[in-house]
Amino acid sequence: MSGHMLEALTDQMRQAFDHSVEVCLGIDLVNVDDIDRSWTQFGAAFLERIYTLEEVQYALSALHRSDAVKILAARFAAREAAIKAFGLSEAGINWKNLEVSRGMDGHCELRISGRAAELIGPINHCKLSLTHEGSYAAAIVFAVRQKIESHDSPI
Amino acid sequence: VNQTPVERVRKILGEHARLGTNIDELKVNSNLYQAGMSSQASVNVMLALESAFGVEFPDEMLKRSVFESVETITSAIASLGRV
Repeated sequence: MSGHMLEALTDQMRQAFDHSVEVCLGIDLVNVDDIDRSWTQFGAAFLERIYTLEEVQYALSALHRSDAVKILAARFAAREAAIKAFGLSEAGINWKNLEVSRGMDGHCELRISGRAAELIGPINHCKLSLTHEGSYAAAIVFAVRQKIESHDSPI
Repeated sequence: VNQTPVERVRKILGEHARLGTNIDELKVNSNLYQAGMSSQASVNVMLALESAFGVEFPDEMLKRSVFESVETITSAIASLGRV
């Protein structure tokens, strides 16, 4: 084996066993009708508590209320998927710290801010996938982040 | 009729938690998530509690454990000075 090949293989192994990063994965499924009921029942209080202004404006730009509800449901699922991925269920964070940002081409990304960003720490890669069909909306969050130092970290 | 805080919390849970069982059959320390409350339903519970008790849960209280049982919810509202 040449020195170059050995170096390449060593580098791959180093990445495979890299203890400095953590793979994070979260998924959530939301009933669209439940989101519709929450919006109907609590109105602006529901929207303002969960979603950023940009997300609400995008949802309200939909031609039909049913489409707006699906947009909101997918974004609720994205928050829950992110909470699962990063282990934030006991963190006590504002839902608006986990926002779905939609590009001009329709590509969606997870935008993390505030205390959530502080707790999650540096992220190397983060991918968000949203879908909705019929009565359900779902989201998956996949991320690779720098592992937060703990006492049991290998030296 | 004057209701106790626990009774008021139970009533709100009965209306908003979408449990798979009757709220009156659950103990004060029964786990509401195990009884069928989804994360989404817990948001409805939180908004209904805020309206009924005139409080606002601060961000640091937006934890799964705070809404885990009648007991933890009542305790959280008490800590906000409204029970």
